[in-house]
Amino acid sequence: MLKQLRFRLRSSWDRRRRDAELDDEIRFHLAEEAEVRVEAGLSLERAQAEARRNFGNVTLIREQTREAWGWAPVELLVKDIRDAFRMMRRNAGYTCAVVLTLALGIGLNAPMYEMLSRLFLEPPPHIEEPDRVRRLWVSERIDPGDRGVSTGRTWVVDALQWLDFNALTADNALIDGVAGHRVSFRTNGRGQRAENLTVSWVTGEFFDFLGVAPTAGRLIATEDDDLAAQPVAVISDAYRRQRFGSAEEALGTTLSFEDVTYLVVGVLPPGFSGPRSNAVDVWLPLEHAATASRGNSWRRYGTTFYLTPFIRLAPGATEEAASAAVTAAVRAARAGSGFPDSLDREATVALGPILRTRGPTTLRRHMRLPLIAAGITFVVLLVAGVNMSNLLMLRVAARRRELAVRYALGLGRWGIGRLLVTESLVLAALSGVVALGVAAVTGDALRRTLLPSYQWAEDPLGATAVGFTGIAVLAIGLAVALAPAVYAARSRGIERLDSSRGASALGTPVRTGLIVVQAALSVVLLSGTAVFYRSFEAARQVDVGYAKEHLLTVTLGSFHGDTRLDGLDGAPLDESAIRAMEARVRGVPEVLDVAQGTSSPMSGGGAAYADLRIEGLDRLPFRSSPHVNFTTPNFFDVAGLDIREGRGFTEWDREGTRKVAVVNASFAQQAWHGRSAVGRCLFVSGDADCTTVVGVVEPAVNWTLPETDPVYYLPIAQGSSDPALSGWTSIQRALIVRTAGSPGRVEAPVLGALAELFPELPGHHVRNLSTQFAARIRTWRTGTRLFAASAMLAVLLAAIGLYAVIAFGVRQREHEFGIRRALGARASNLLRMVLARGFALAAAGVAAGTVAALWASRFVEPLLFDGRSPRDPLAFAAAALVLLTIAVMASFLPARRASRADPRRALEAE
Amino acid sequence: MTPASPRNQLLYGTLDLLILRTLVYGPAHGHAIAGHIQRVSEDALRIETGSLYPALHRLEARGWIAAKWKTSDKGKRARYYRLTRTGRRQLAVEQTRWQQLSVAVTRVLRPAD
Repeated sequence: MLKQLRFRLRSSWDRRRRDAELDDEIRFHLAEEAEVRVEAGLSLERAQAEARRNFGNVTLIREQTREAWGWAPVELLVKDIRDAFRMMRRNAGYTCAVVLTLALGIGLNAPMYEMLSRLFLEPPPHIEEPDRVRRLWVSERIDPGDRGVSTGRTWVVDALQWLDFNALTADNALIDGVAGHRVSFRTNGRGQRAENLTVSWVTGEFFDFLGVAPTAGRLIATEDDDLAAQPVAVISDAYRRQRFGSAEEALGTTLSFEDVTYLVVGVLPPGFSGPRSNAVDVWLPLEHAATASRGNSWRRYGTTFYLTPFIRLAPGATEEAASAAVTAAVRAARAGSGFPDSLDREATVALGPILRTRGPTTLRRHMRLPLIAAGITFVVLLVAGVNMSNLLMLRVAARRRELAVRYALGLGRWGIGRLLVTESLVLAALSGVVALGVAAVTGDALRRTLLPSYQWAEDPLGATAVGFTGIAVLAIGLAVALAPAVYAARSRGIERLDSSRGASALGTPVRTGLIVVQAALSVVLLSGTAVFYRSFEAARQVDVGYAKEHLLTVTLGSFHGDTRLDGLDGAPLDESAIRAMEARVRGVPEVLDVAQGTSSPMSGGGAAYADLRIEGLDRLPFRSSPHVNFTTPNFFDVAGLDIREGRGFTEWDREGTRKVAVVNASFAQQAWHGRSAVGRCLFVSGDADCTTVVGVVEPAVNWTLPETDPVYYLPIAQGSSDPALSGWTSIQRALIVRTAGSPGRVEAPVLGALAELFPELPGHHVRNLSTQFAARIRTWRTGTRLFAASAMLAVLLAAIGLYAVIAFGVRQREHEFGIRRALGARASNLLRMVLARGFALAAAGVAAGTVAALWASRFVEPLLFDGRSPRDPLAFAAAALVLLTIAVMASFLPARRASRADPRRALEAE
Repeated sequence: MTPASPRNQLLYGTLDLLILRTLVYGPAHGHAIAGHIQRVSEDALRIETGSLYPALHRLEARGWIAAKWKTSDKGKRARYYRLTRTGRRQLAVEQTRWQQLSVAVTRVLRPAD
């Protein structure tokens, strides 16, 4: 068997050599034979002639011998592929159309699936035995009394406070190791040279736990996570390249975060981002970093200092047993002393895969977008596949004669089927090659658009992308050829060698079906585009409150994010210093006015919560905790917030005068349900005396679009009786700058002026509100663009397909149209007839597509702005209108041709 | 493949058997095989020597014989065929079948006792 196979393979590889060998063999035989006769006494000439006669017909024998070799499958394949290439060269236009559309379809999908695989399937790289590493998901009830959080709902989070975390490290046979990290944005250096980095604070066991090896130097070890040890840092490969160049230059340099200087001792391998998917620049030991940021208080409970824990299951340990053990450990720790009563002692801990995306919390919006995007590109691929199948079908119909001839020559039905499958596979393979190019060019941009901060592998063409391309090529090549091959192999399709008429109707149902499917898929994408566009428009036009066009916010210092609430060694800024900075910024050209606030607009950064009670209400009536913003009197004016009722703050609202507050409209509505807010009484931070509401201001966006969160404002000048809050107001300060022209032009001069005044201050953070707003509505913009680009492609393909089918039909029926003319049909009748056919096909597509889109709408629903319905009649109507218009346009040219059919020619032919 | 007439089939089978039988004595090239068959059958089986080659290549494709280029006694390069192990088994099968056939034919041809 094996020998036979080898023989066949060999015979196929070197048929030409074997031909020569056979010639040699025959020549040897003839020479031998002649020699025998010469020995018997014949002359050389006669001997040769007789030998040849005796041998028989040399050509025939050669043929018969070759037949004995047989056709090896490989050889057949080579022959078929050569045929396919010949066909493609002859129909260059058709080939280009098919290859390009399919390549776009595959090329967009390949990086998409690579991305999805990285997001949801593959564990982060460089982690040893990632299957044994588990992320912990804690579900606990939030106490209603805790810092003004108003409801007692349960939340699920992959984080623990330090005392809980410490409980995990107790000996447990089921657990091989525990590590924790906390990621935040930090500023390295001071003044104008300061840079914002993503920093991960890690427990000493972290790197050993993950089992990662450095590419240079060493990693943070257990003994480094000790305040007595020298502070060290390790950096990512990307940051090493961007900042230092070579690893040698990086090692031994220092980084400075919050007044602590860290020695860089190691570099991590490329692509490493820990157990997290988003990129990290620097890793620091937890003890040093947390203490520098929070003082010693971070260890205490209730400081909102959370750590993301990971455990490594011992070999053979089950997940259930381990999660039970972890839950028991956390509950036991909480039952002990040092924990406040408000804490949920019934908290449970569940174990999940290392990938955060596969945790129990519902997919967040930025994770949904890639999923939807993958869905969209998959539909594009479907459209491209259907388009290709349809074109192939038309090719078969047009090649009826050629196929009939081949059939008559003995190719057989199987042979014809094989020929078509080979053609389609070769087309698909060619598209696959182009697709890899498309993927290489667009893949990186695509994933950076969809998930900007993700730690992507260097190469956008990973194994998954290439594998996907291969599978797609094979699947599409086979699937697409199925209908044409079946149709062609059916004898009815090829029996009529003599006629060019009549057979054209064959295969029409399949072609029409394919067109309807194509139109339907286009409608799905079109209505998606319309729905997303409406969402995008709504989001863009949402009133953010702030007059955002010429507004710049400067968060002073580096203390956005975590703050030093306790153990503050002298606040870095006092009021006189802040006033000096404000004055300096006011002096920058093109700056119109400057205000101050503790919470900077549209970032949510610096939001503070105080204990709050409202006179006359037992409990807070809010869905989310109200946050407080301490501002200067001109804040509302500069930020462009309208006072709806009462007044804003004035210079008289200062220390010693009556305490006043301004609330936003959401606050007023939820607390007093449309009754006047002015004159109401708030009790802030447990104060006994009343803080009087003097005004209501329009809501302004901080976190969500549109904003419904309750916010109240207090004058900076009146301070707070709560030491934590007054500490907050002194370190957490943003300047709100109104500019005359483009705020972008003012950014650098403002930073320059501040650095001139206090060169030693850590980096300030400047944000341009219009840019920030654009970032806020990114999801809808990206979604709209993605949908729109895909829909355009799909509609174009549908138009091409429809045009091809209608035009083909018209060409086949030219004779019939001529006769109709001769019998008295008017040109306009024929025109209408053909247009109606195109319209009917598109209408069927619209109907099917609308049903499909209504079904698929559930997937995009969570992504739409402000809970808008994806079943928007206007959007669907628009989609239908676009497709029907395109369909009529695509059928117009063939229709005109039909209307000009020549009655005389038709009659003559009869 | 074109359907062979019964006579052809018999001839085909016979030729295969004769080739396999010949190669029992050791490797040989095509000319030698043809010569041997003629000599042994005392020229009773005169074949067009050329028709030997399709048969040889068919047997090779089936794996019953194997071929190799070697230098002949007279110093010329020739294609030598030898019997493979499967070929030897096949020979036994063919021989049995042939014997059964020839017994049957003989019985038919013998006048009734």
